[in-house]
Amino acid sequence: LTQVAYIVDVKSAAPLGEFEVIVLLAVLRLDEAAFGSAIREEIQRRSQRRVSRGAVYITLDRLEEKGFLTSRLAAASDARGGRPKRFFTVTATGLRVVRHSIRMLARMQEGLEPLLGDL
Amino acid sequence: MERLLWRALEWWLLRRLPPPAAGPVLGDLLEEYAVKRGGAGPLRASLWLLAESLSIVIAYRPQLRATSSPQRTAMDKLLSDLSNGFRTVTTRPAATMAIVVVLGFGVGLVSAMFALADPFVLDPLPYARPGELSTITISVKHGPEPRALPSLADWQARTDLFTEVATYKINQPIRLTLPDGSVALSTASVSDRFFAVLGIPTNVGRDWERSAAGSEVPLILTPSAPRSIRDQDQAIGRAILQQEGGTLRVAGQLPSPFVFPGPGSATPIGGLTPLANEPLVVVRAVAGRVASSRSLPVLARLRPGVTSQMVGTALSSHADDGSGFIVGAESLHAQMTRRVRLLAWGAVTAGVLILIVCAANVGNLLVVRVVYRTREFAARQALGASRWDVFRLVLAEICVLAILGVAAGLALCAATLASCAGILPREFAALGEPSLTNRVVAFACSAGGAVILFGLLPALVAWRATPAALFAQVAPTDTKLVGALRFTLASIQSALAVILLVGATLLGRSYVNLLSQDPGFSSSSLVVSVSYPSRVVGAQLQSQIDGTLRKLRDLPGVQRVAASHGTMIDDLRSMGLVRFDGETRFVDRKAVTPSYFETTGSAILAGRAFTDRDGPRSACIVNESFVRVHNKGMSPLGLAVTVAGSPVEIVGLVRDTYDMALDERPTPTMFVPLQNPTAGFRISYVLSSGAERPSDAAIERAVAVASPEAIVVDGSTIRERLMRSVRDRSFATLILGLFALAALGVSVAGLTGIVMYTVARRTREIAIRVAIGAGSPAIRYLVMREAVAAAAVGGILGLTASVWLSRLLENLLYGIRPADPWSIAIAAIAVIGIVGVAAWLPARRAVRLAPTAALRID
Repeated sequence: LTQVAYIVDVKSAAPLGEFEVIVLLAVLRLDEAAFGSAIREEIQRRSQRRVSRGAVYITLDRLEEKGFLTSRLAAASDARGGRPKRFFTVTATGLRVVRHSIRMLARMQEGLEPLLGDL
Repeated sequence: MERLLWRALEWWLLRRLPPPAAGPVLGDLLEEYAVKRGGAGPLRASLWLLAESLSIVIAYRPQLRATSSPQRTAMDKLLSDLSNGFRTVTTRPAATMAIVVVLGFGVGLVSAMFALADPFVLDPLPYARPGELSTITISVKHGPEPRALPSLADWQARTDLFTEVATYKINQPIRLTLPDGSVALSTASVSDRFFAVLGIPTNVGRDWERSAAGSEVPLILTPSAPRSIRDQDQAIGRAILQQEGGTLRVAGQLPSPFVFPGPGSATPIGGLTPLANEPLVVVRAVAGRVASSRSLPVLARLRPGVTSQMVGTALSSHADDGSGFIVGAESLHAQMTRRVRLLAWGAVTAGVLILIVCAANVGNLLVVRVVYRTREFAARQALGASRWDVFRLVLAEICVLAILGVAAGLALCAATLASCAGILPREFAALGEPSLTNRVVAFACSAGGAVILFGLLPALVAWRATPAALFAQVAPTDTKLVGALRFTLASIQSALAVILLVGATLLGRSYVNLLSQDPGFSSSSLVVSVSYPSRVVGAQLQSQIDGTLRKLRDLPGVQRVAASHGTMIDDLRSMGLVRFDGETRFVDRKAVTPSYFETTGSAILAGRAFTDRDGPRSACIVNESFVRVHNKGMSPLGLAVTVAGSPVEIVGLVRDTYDMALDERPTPTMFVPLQNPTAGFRISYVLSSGAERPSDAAIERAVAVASPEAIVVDGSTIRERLMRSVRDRSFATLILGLFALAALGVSVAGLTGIVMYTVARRTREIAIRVAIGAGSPAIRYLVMREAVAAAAVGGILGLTASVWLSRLLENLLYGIRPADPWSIAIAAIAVIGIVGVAAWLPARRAVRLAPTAALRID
């Protein structure tokens, strides 16, 4: 029954783009410290590519809208001009869709090792 | 400014982002901005903030479009205008390219000149609170010996004037032995409060005090020290053997940037050693009267409220009997930038003139562009756009062009700075290599902004367009305003081009005067300056000089060799007092070997050259200036000059030579035979050779064999040294010449544009005139008169201004007066000729128009 529920859940969710998967993984990696700048920094550091700040923020908003992320506002500080910090957490659904996306990629890759080499 | 930018971005982002996202995003930006600002400075951080905000707004744009109301904010309008402007400039790539190139040219050149001048004009010196630093010089009056001389300790106690006082002495280069060979190092000895005066942290390396053993001298390396010493691992604490006998131990390294605070700072000082207890002033008196004096320069940090002038007045000693000393004080900035400041301001002024010429040209091009779009503006108004909308549209387009022009200008500026590094006078690099700093970028942006002011004129033309223009037979309307604008802009260009051309002609003729001047030397002779350790003097130095002369004479290709004490064609001179004709005279003294005059090609006009039997106390030779100034032009042969109480017979008269600089008139000079020099200084060896010149390596080997401790400081021909002595003049001439040509080119392009525009606008009229029998001269007059009149008005204004402005160049002129009529005439003829050709070529097209052309114009 759990398996069926999972399949229904994942199938009903909108498919994830590559960048969305990357953002979700970055939020998972940062755990409690996942906010806009830190997430972008983590992605740039690990992917070795420059990422637009706007793309990160809009993707975070979209993922929250889809129900894969939740956010909470931390207290404002003077260093931030009295603006709060917005921390993100991956929801259970978010975790499942990331897992699904990665598995899907792994299955697609099966048998292509001679072409793709050892990744 | 930063606060204003932040407030503007905050306002913008709050309106472009959904409310839940906006606050945290702004917080993230502000937090990261503070970090960036600390690392990269406010300008770069602000640019970063702008770019990041833009990236966020672009990302949220589709979402905003889907949700926002149709009501547009002012920022929306501005962005939309800029976007329209960008689209418009890309639809006319050729015209856009022309404007961007001219604008980039002007902005690039003026920014490059600003980058050169900035360190000398605006930049504070790289020391703590540089405004408090002053440099003090002491000169002892000639007369009775002063009873008391100033000392550093006395001045240190003057707490009413100074907070810190220090002195320094530039040393001869020394040779250091390293594990992988030897290296020459220029050093200065500095007193113990030197670093405190400059405000440089003293925790560099180990203690500055001499080591307890007393045998080792601590050495602090500056960033100018040879890499082989600086880059050695663990250089600090490592002993370096000095070949002269003593041992130096590297005690510390100064952080970059460091500029040695002296007038000779163009010579990079690689190391600093402690100054032994040397008196501030040394006076040599003969029979109770001052014969010569030497003093060390003093660096002082003035107490707040104390000026350099107050220091000079407070410390000078004016005894009633005429003895005493004079203390001169000036700000350290003034002293270090004196030689370059005028040149720097001149370069910036020339750059600004070029910018105005380019801006006027751009203004002209934009007027044409707007006039051709009159119908479009009329159509927009007919469809409901207000005049303000049309004005804004043109202004946005001009802003886009200005942004592109500034970008092109910055690229040109960077390329100019990179390519002119080799031709810059070395004084320009004294405070650091000129580079594209934040301030230069800001200056370029301001220059671009200034050009927008010229862009307001064409925007005004657009403002006056009315829907009636849609029905006009010929598109361009409002010709009176357009004509007046174009005429004024073309006149401004011509006037400035003439001013630059007159300046360039004056400098060019002055430079030709310099080059055509006979220096009195054989320019091809090679001069090798050799520095000896200070302890090598007297007979020991004489024997090394003789040995070096022998070795140099044996080199293949060398015909004659000679030596002189001191430097040749350099700023340094050895002066002293002698008595002649019953009076005390101030003369240059130069000790030379007997073959000096023959080797350098200096002509003996009367009497004889030195022989081996002559000594410094028995014979001397004087130059023409000596005779002219001190002997009323009469023959000096057989007369005697009294040096330190001993009469020395004048045995020869030699021609004047320019042995200081090509632009410095010869002064009264007395030559004496070089024998057992008592002071360790530089010796200049002069080599006259045939076609085959000995290599630098062979010369260095020859010097090293005869005197292993000597250092070859410079090896160059007399011609090279003479050219080097007027390098600042060559630079000024080159810059002004290039700028004048550039201004003339831009101005000619503008005038050609006027004629081409006239031909295009009046094609139908011209064709009809041709059809009814108008001749070529009449047609040519019709199309050329506007351009020629603009050039004439501009030319007259330019020439009038030149007569007054050329006085500013007075210090750079040589053998020519500022308002030299020939130079002005040459410039005027050149302008008339070039303008004539520029207007005549496009006029040919009008003359060749067939009457049928009238039918093809709508």
